[in-house]
Amino acid sequence: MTFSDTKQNHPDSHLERVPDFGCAPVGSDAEVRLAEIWETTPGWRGWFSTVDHKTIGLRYLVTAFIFLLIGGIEALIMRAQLALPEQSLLTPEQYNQLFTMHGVTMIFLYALPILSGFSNYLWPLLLGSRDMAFPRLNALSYWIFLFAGIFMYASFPLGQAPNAGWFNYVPFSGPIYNTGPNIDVFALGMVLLGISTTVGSINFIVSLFRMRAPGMTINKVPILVWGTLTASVANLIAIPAVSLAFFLLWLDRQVGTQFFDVANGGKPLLWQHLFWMFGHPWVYAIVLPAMGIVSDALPTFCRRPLVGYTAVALATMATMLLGFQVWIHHMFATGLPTVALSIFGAASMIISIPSAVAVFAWIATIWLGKPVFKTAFLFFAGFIFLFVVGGLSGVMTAAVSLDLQLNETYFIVAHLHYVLLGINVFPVIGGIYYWFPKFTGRMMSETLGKWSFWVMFIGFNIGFFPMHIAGLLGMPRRIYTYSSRMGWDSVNMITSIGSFIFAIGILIFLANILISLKRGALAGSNPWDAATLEWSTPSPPPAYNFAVIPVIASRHPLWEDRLNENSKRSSLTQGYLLMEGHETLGTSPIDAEPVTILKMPGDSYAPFFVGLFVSLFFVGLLLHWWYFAGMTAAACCITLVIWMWPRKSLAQRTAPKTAHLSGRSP
Amino acid sequence: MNKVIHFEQQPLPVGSDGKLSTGWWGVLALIVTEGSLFGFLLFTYFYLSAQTEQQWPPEGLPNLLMPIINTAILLASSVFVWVSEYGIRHQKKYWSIGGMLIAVVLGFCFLKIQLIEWGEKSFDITSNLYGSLYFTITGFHLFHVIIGLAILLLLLVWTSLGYFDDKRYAAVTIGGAYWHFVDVVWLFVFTTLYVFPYL
Amino acid sequence: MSTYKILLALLGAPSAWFIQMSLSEPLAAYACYPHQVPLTAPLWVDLSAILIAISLICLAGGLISGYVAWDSWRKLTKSGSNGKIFVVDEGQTQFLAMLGVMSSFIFIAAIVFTFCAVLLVSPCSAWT
Repeated sequence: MTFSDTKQNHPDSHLERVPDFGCAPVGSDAEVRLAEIWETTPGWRGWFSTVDHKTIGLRYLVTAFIFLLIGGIEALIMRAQLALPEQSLLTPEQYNQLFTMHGVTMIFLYALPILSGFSNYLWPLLLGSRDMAFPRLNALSYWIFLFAGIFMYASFPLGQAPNAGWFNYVPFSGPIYNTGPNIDVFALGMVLLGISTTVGSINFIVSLFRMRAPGMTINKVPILVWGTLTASVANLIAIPAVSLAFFLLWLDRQVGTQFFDVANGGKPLLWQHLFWMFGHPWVYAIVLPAMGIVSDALPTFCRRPLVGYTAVALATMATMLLGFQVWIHHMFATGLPTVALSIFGAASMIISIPSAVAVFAWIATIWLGKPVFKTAFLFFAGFIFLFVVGGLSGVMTAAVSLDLQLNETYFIVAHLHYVLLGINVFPVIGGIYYWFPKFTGRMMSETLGKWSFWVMFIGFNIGFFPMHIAGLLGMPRRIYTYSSRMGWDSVNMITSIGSFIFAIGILIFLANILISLKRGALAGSNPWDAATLEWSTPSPPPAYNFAVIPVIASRHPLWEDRLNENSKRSSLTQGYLLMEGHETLGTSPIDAEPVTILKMPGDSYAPFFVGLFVSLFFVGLLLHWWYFAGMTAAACCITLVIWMWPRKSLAQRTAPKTAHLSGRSP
Repeated sequence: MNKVIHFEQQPLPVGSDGKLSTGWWGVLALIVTEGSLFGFLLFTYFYLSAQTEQQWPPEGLPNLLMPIINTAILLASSVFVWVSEYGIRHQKKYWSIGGMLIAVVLGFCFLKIQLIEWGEKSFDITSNLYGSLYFTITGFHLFHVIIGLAILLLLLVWTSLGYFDDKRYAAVTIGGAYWHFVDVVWLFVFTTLYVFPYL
Repeated sequence: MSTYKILLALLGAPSAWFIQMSLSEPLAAYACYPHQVPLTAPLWVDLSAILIAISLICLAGGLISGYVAWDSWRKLTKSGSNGKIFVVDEGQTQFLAMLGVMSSFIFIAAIVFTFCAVLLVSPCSAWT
């Protein structure tokens, strides 16, 4: 595999050529050259311009985790306030802002971004590609996420944070009852964040359909990919609803439109419809990729493939689709006519079918396998338990008549925390234990890991289970204090104690990360002896991911000899070389046959500046600095034009026939 | 005997080759999400109009003549974008430049007429619920027209600079798809705002 | 197996359910609560009949696509002479057919559930 090989190709080799097939072991000329092509320049330049999906993925993970810690601290302050009756640690307004920011942070700034972090880091590695489909959009999506997070927190230190709950119902959040900048910050911040999520989702979808290694037909992609794909498609369709709702609210507040203005024929329920049309699919968007993490990682610790791959893939997609027609179950108490509610109650119950399919698939995988009780396994097993508890209370609230009793009580708080922590936080922490060796090249400590699991698991259940009881005793959500005559004292005390125990568990986990980063045992490329493609690369993976783009023959490329399902074998050391610049292989959507050689863009400052200008534009809107907003919009457009300008190096433009290929991208 | 699966070694196109490019898939995804945005906008319209007890529309039934002419203008511009792409595919450079130029001019005509329409309304965005809906929905569409026009202008510049030939012209396909989308969406907006009150 | 058949098998039942929900919900809601005040009887006398008709048509749609999915799956997995299942390609076609069978099953169940809600709850009744 010398580079002169390409000269035997078609004369128009910059437009069409036969990709070289061969191998490129570590240290070979080819491998050195690949590293040179793909590595980011060190220093601040590389820091702002990198489009390496692994760097971006880690940034997503770290940033989202910081938001988790911030949201957690907010929760602990609230639990301190509620531990005893009639406390005055917080004023009602402070409490309102805290629970709102807690919800906003956890739901929007932690739950999906952390999963995007995993997916960003892992997709190309799972799919056998050198990058995501749109590397620069990937960077843009991170920068906007970061700026949107900062934006939504900007008014927090001034005591003007959003204060109407994370679902922000009108008319309370409207111009009459909420006159400060609180809600405007939330409204504009959500539109901004929506851009980031949409851009990220487009990237995931196109990557799945275009960037799989040859041979990885649609029935061989890992479940994590199905989860993120499903969530991304849902985001594309659902995010516009919430962005629109918040934009209309902003218009109502700042321009004087009347969408939600009851006095002039506007409808407050319009807000609830738009919000929950987004909100319910979103709930699944923040759990399905996490369920994918479990479906992919659990089999490694059970030493056998996942039971019911097809069923779990279908369950993932069916849950999402069902999730689009259940939004009214958040509105059972709004006085809608009974048949209308019953239809949605019935649809909500149906969701238990695909959920149960997935749960039984995981249980069967453990049952039929030979489980290895590592920390990650404990987190995944804990997840299954919490999912079942949260799922059962979900079926209860899907019944309209029961929901009328439970609505707006702590029972709902208990349900949503079991579901969101159970299905998001536990798999995420388990996933970090699992992929930490891949991210850093070092193992995490098992001793501390097991401590962190048990403390978290016990703390979680002590903290959140009593909330069911508090709810059944009639304790409403979102009250900043209560009288001791209500009989809620002991459940609240237990809940507060449990929440602090849970926090200690998180601290142990953080300590484990810090210690393991420095002193963890070195991990080889495949420390868990796992089956999927990411474990065939060194830990941490090189900038180019795969020295050769592998050819895949099964769902478990690294377990083929052991499972011996058929006689076909994946080719991991021999594959497509593609090293005339940033290149990777484009394949067909279902059959994964190679169809094109994709030229990938290199590092660029454009995403950072587009993100910055868009965010400043929103700052201008918030502060009514119209000229400033106009200028940043113009700057953003100019940057976009530079970004989109067709390049010869990407073969987006025609090139003179005499031109020689340069090996490097600019 | 275990066999390693293998693919036929055949020449593959390099870089952004028309509908094989990732950009094409990207614009399709963008169209899905933008289409969804307009879907929710129209949902908002129908939701509020179904429940209103106000005079709807406040001025009485809308005048259809100018909007129909304007719709025709917008659809014609889509045809010329298609002509432009056809020109590039068949190595007729002047067809492609001319087609794009006419498409841009027609797009600007649409914009101008729509602004005149706005000026003739007796209400504004804050007058009543219908006004809020009317100006927000058409405003969203007009904003998309402006973005689309900017894209068409860029394509015109790039085509004139001779950036594209019959082998590499993905940008025209992608930008053109966006413009077609903006035009198709207008049909829905037009039907909702102008035809629906007659039913 | 043709692309249309696969698409029908995969998306037929989900679409039927989606249409059933999207039509029934606004009709049921509007008929009992058109403007500011809820009504005691639906706006249209035959609301129940309309809702039942929608459900029946959608159920028929779901069943047809379910049959197509089942049929494709059966044809694809016909045993060869040696008793082993004949694999068409890398397994993707069978995978898609299986997805079709499963999705039809879940969404036919969903249609039936929604149908039950329509049948059991009388329109515009109060929760008492």
